[in-house]
Amino acid sequence: MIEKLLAYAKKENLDLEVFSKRVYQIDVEYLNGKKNRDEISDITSYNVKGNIAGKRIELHLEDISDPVKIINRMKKNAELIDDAKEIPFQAKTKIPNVKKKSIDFDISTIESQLSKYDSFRIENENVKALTLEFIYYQEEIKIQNTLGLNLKDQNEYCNLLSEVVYGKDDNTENDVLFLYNNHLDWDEFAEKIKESIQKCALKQEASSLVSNKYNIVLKNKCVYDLLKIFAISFNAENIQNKTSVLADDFAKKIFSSHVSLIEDPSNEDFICQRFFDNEGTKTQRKYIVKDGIFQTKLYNQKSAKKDNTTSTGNSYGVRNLYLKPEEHSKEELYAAAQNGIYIENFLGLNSGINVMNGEISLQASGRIIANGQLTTSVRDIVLNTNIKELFSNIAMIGNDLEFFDLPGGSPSIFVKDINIAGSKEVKKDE
Amino acid sequence: MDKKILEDLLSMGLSHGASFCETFEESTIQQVYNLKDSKLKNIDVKESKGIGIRLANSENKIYGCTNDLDIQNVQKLMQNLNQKFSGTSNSTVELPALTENTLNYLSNHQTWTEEQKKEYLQKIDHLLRQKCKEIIQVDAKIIEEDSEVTIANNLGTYQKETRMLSRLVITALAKKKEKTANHTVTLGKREGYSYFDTLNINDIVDQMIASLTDKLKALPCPGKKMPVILGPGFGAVIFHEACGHALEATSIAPKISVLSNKLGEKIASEKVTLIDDGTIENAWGSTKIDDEGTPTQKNILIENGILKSYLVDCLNAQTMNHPKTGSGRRESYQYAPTSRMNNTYLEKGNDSISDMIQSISYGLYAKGMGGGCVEPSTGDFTFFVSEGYLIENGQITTPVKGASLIGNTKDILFQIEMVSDDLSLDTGYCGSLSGYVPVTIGEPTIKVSEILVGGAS
Repeated sequence: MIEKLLAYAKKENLDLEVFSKRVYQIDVEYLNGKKNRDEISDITSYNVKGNIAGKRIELHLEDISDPVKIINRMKKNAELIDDAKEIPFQAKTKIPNVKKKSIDFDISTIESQLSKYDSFRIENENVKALTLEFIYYQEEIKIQNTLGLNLKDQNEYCNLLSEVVYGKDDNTENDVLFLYNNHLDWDEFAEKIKESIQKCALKQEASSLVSNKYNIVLKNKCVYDLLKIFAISFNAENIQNKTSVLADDFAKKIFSSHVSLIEDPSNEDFICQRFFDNEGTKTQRKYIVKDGIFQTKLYNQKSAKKDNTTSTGNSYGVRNLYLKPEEHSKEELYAAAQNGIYIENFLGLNSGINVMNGEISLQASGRIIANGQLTTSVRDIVLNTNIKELFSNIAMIGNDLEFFDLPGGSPSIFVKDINIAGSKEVKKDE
Repeated sequence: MDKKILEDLLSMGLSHGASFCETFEESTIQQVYNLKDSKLKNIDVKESKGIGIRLANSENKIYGCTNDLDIQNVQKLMQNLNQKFSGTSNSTVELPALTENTLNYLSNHQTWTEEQKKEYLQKIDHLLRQKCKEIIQVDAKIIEEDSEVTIANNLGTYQKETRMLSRLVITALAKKKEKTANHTVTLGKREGYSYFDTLNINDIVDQMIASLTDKLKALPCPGKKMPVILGPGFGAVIFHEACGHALEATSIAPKISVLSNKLGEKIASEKVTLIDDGTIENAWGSTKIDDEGTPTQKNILIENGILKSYLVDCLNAQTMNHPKTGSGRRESYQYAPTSRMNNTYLEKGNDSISDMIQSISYGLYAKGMGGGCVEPSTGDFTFFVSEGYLIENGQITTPVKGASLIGNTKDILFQIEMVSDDLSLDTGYCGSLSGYVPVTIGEPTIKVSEILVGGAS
């Protein structure tokens, strides 16, 4: 079908490019030992881009069987749109020919393996519910255009997830874990479930704090959660539109000197290694922030044309973005914080962050750090800061770099003096 | 798909031991007209068309979907799903005549020309920039969506529905010295372009500017427990998150919700009567039938504090021995349906807003709420206050920023102390297991006796 569409575009003397993506996914979930979800999906989608009447026009379609209808719609859009300058397509992108690893699994083995871990619930009367989930994801992408570009790539990976619901009477806690990899490490999964249960048991005794400024150690997953959301602030398009909190900050020192942010999509250890982005531009390893200085804006072809530069291969945003680790262990981070809070969970990431002005107001839970050691659990607290303040106050970065999803990963960090709100009242004699 | 092909497909789905087989065909066209920098930057066209198939028996349920609609491919998918069942059956499915459903639309998406849509967005942009010099960016969108769904199953459902959505989203960003603030307005209805004719753009713009001006002056919100007044409309996100999700069969059926096994019990203050109604005429979350073909209905969830009903989809109704409530929803054919909210609102009360404010010596007036989220298994929730003001000595005073509200379902519902009569409904998208679905949330102004406010001062 792609060939038919491109042939019709050529006949009409139009430059056209089709990015197609086929995603095959399997999702199996057990809840308290019983299968709760069993899904298969196989979806192909097309992003059709054309240079029509001097403008770049795009459509997102699942059916490209009618070239006449598609081209007519693009022509109609070109008449209305004010600001979408033509961008020439590439005829060639040189990429290495690499054979990627594939995951070998038998779905029937996965199901029996997953359900086996329900023993953690059966053996512990306080585990009220245990969800165990396996997701397999395979993507095949193609980019073809009327200039002869013909790129293909394929990736696959899997996720193992669990949610423990733990409690006595009405006092219930939960913990979610997420393992993302291109192999299945069942031993690690079992260990992490045990840790989740222990974490929930500790949370049962948790209380809140008095509102104040605290030294905090932010667990690697929490740092990643924030990086993933704020990554769009480095996009040139948002900077051009003034909707980025970093709109006026390019080439300036925005964070602590400890902070270097690297994006490395073509790294061979990256699970979803990509040599080109969705526009066929070669990807590259780059420092977005180096020693606290905002060094590279992330461009796609459109935003690059506007700034009269070239694309950085970031039409899909970021992949394999991470905060560069330092050599410190978690224990050293706790020791540096001395008295403070170890934050290991956020709730409300979908609502408590304003990416336009950088404000962060997030419900959190974790442990108290007293004399450099983790002690009791803490909950019902709110982290109130701004992305610039949070990353400027980083005093130390851990060595526990871990990757969590396609956008990337992070090590843990130690941050000084951050506002935390809590529900505990100040005693009059304090 | 042709009726005969569907009947054969459903019969095939029952041939290996499944007792329930359902097909969900969907085609959707969405167009987003986006004005930014005072220019029409883009018309994002998205078209999708595919089928979802669900098989189930008392032991097993499975879902598959594809957008390769070649019949051989769909049959292959059915065979793959069948492999999960054991047994044989020669059941032959005969579907009834197709029932076609539609809401009472006054217009469609062809009643405005493309130029009219562009001019409408340009007018909004112009008014905002003309009336407020601090505005540095306006991002205005018209979103129109037309879809058609056909649901068939072996239990006698063969229903089609034509659905339409129109939405306006305006975000303005203002800057004064080093301070930046943004404000977003979202409005929507299941209607064509006649809906936009009913909106007063001048009023919308004036309200946005008033909110932006206050946000630019806002000081960091104090963080501590305090009484809070939640404004009408989107303030109801507190009910959507704190108890709506916890009442969905998804977490009730496996008994992992904090509100499991509580039917008939007092779970909220007597001021709380909470309704979920999928039948409100042309409301954002309304449909004639849900995504399993069950007619939508008005469900009283909580009445004067007593839990009356859960939100239940077709398969969970069997497990729970609870009637279906017309709540089986999904984002698209790519998702298996499950119990979801439609239009959820708190019934009016008779407390006066001025009495509420005067009753507070120090608290927060949350005029506008952002999104929120909840863990149904623990009841912990959090919401972001997008526009807030301090209440001091019975009066609304300073605008504050960066506040969020956190609490737990089992406490907050009892802390609803006063409810006024200014019920207002707002629109949004709710994300959960079966994807993002359009929902209405609504409430009159309410007073919460005490809640933890997360703030930076």
